[in-house]
Amino acid sequence: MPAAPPPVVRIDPMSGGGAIKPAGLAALETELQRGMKDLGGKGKPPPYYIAYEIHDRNDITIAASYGALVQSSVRRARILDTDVRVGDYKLDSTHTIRSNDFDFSSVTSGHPVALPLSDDPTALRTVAWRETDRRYNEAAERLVKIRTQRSLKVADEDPSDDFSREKPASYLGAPAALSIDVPAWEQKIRQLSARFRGQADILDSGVTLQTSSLTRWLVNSEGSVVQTGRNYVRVFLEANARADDGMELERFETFDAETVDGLGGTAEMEKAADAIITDLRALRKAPLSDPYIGPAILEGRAAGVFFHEIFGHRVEGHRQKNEEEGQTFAKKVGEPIMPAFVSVYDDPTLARLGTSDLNGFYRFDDEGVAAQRATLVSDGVLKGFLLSRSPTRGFAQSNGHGRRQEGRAIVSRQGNLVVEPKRTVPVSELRELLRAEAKKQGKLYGLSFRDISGGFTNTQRGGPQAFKVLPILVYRVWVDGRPDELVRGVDLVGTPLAALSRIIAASDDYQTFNGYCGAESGFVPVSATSPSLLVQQIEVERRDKGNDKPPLLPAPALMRPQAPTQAQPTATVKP
Amino acid sequence: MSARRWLAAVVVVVAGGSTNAAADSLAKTAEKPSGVRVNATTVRQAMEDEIARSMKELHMGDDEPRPYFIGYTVSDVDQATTSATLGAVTGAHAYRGRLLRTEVRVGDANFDNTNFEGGASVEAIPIEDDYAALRRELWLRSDEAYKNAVETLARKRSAAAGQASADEDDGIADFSSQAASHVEVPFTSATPDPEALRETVRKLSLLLASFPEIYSSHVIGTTSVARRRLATSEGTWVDDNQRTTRIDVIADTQADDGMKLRSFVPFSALDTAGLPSFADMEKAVRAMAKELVATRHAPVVTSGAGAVLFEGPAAAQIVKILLGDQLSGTPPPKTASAGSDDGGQQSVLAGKLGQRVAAPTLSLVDDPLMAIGPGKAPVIGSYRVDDEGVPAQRVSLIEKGVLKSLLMSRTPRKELTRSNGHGRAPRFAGVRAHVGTLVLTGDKGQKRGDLLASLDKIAKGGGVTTYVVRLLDDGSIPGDGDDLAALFSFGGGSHGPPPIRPLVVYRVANGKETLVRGVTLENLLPRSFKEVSATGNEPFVYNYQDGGGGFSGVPSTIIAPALLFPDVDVRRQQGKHRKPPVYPSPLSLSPTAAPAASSVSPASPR
Repeated sequence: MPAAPPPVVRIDPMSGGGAIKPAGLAALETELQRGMKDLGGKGKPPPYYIAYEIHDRNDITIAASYGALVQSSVRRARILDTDVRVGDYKLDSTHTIRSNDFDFSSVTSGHPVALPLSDDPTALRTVAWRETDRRYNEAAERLVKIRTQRSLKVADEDPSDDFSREKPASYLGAPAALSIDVPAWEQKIRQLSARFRGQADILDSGVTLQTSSLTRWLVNSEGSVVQTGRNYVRVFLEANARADDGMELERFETFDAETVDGLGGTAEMEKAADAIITDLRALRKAPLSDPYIGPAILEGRAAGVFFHEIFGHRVEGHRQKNEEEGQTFAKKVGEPIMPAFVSVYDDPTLARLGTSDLNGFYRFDDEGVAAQRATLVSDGVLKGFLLSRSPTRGFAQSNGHGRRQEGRAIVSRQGNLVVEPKRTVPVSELRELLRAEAKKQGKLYGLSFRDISGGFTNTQRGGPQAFKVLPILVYRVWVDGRPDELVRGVDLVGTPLAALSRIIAASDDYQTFNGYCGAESGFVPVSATSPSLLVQQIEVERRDKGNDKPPLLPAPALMRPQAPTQAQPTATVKP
Repeated sequence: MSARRWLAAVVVVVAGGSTNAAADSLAKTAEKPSGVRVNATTVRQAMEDEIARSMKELHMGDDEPRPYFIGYTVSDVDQATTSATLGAVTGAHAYRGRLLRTEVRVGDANFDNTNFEGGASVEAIPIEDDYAALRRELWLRSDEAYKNAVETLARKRSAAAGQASADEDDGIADFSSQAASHVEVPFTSATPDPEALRETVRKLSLLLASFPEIYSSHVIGTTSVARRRLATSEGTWVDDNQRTTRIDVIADTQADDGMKLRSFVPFSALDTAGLPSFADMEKAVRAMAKELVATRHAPVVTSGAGAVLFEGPAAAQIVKILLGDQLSGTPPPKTASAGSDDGGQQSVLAGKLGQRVAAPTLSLVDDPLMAIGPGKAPVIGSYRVDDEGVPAQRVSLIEKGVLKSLLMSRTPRKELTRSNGHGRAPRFAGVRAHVGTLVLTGDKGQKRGDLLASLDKIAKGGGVTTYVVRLLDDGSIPGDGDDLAALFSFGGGSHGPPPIRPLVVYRVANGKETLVRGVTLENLLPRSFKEVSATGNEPFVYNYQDGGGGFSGVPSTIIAPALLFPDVDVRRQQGKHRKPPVYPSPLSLSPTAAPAASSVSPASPR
């Protein structure tokens, strides 16, 4: 049946601006302009672009294990990233050097620098000056190397410019602010972690609250001045156990939101903790799965991660350009790469989808380009890529996906990836389709992947361009209709083109995976949303298993009554 | 070539873990004090109960050995760090954590799983005194440590069986016997005073704002309290604590030819109250800054034979660099493959007991029981019992130039089979013998004027240039954003010890001291101490963290008078300079920049 797209909350990047420009941002803007002017006069060759990006973070971490606090801390940091480009938009100092020599400048291209936390203009400007001068000298040296190389080597496969021209952004949003009742949360996290108490099968366990209040400043020599603020709040529950054969088993649950209230209630978290315990107990007893090739359902969150890994990373714009990359999709624009009923897009302007806040929401990317929806696949046909200001063949402009963790160099990254099938069936029907497909293939069962811890993929030519996805909960769905059976010890492996072309059906149960994605430009918050998908053929292989026995002694039974404890303030007065 | 590939090849997504992979472990404790549960007896009870159970019951089957020794160390660390530049705070972090070190030995004291491959087991555990949560950690970590110990012992046995027994160390036990210790020092407060430190650090950093010729500067201050609880199956119980505070004022700049120049002033004490007065610190920082600015315009040294007087911090630093690690008698761990026991960690002094290793005028003791240094200087390398629970002892290492002993942990060596209370462990590494409070003395300490006269006499002999060195570079002091390329290109020469880089050097001629720059000192070796021809009469107290960056090392102290080395290879610094700044610092635009800062006259010698 034709499917309705999931309900979303979209936010216009320019909405809600008009905050007062902070003195610190103004000071850095002045310093940037001075650098542009002075280096323009004295630098040979002069820079054509300078940008400062500042990540001002206030992080709170509260962690507990087994009913006792392990950590409760606050961390504030203001980190400066300075980008200086020498040359011109066509060919500049960031151009890839193709050389057999190790290119130090590519590794050292990120330079996090701690800035004063206050808006003291002299201190801010002096730190920025030293960094600008240094990055300028590096860029000027690198451009000489690049020009030398160009006269020695064959032309680049992709003749695109090095930097796109974009409209300067001017937006002053409110700085991020988040207030957390620390003692109350300490108590809550403690209590959640205490649910693992008395569980003999659970080894290590922990519950963590992590909040990050992030104010970002961006200023560049093209005239962009941006301030944005947003919060990230996460509760993370994890535990592990060990099967009798030595296999390590892990299970976690996360709650991500933009506000503390968005996390949902305590009852839900308690339920998640209990589910972890139940699942780990079941996993300890679950049979080992044999290697298998056949049909499978990737349930919503698992399907989201699957798409993030095997598709999302391969449509990052810079991978279409770099000649060491596999370029799986570089020349497939306009061609069908998956079934015609599937569309895929990435949209960082989505703040919410269904009942989930989306981790990958932002207004401007790290190059100051307004976030926008990138249509990647429309009705099965590849339409475009995730683009930063590094143009690639056929795509001259950024679509606002240039991202980085502070201290790293920017590349194009995912934000909120959404897989949207045009026709869907109810979940129960999808399971029937799985049974039918398994039967057709002569199998006794199909597999259903409920949860995936993450995965990795190699996109480069130097190695096999395959993926491996690490499932946590995998069930056998029997053709003869007996109840599903939990199995353990398998990894999902394959190659992207084959896997994508074999999606045969989808259900209407959109689920969102919120997480942090690590790649060249560091860890960035992302989400991936998909309904459950039926894939005609997937392959699983046995997981490497540990050999350690479960603990030799039983968990210490609390033989003596617990000594009375009393609360005492941390900040006792000095003697 | 392939390095680049692996850096970029793999992309991952994670749901769990940190939101920021680069986030450091230092974090600021919550502004508002929170109710952390504390109970004086719980921690000890949990430790002793799990030791008792594990000693009795922990075993893998009848064929496998049982533990013969179990030790737990629970360290409660409460640490606050502030960094600042030009009067503005750039970071204010605090770390409060509890670390558990677990040691399980199987076999017996003559041959056990230690002194072989494998590192220390150190884990973060709950900071609250919750008996059940602590027992659980102790149980799980002991289980892991025991399994590792059994496996390691098996590998060590098979390695020993496969190796020829020509090794002269054969028959040396792995663990020396020791009576149980009982030390309890009352613990008053866990909280250092971060506010006072923060303001001091900020104010010190502001002093450098009047020196626009210093391109980058920062001040880092850390104060830390570590409460240590050690329980062993031998019945040892130690509950004591250590306070350390340190402020480093660091300045970096370049000469007009691009040469990188830096200097720093360290201040240390047990706690913030023990630091010098602000006025004294201000004086020292200004003197350092003036001297560094003057260095920008100082002549570059010419290579050649030199006679060098190390004085002030440089005297203690040269003792640390040349002798510090060599005094440890802990033998290097054996390795699985025969012949790979390359002696890289073997002390060059170890084989020289009873032999001359220094000039006959020199004597050296390590005395952790010394509570306070000359001139009432704070001594952070002072302790009563080491990390193996052995009472600290004063050890006479060198007497009139002859090596008498080494610093020992409970890992014996052929010549020295007992610990002398120097077994200490950096926060995340294993126990080995470390310097506690090392005191070098000379027989006939001379006044500075007489030492300069000695230098003059050497110069008059011809062919030798004479220098005074006041400060050496210290790798543990963070620099001004060194890039990877520079780090990788270091240490190109494969011959001889790594060159020593002095930061403050004066050339002395006819009683006149001229500041110079671009100096490296080569071929200084432990045996160079045999050539020391004169010593001063004002010992300098130098506090540092041994064997670990930041505050993760072992608090140590070296006390040494000025030392005259008559034969040192002085070389002009090699390598390419970074370009000097293309445009001026904003500090030079500020009308408040003090004119004194651009003075080129060298700071007057003390």
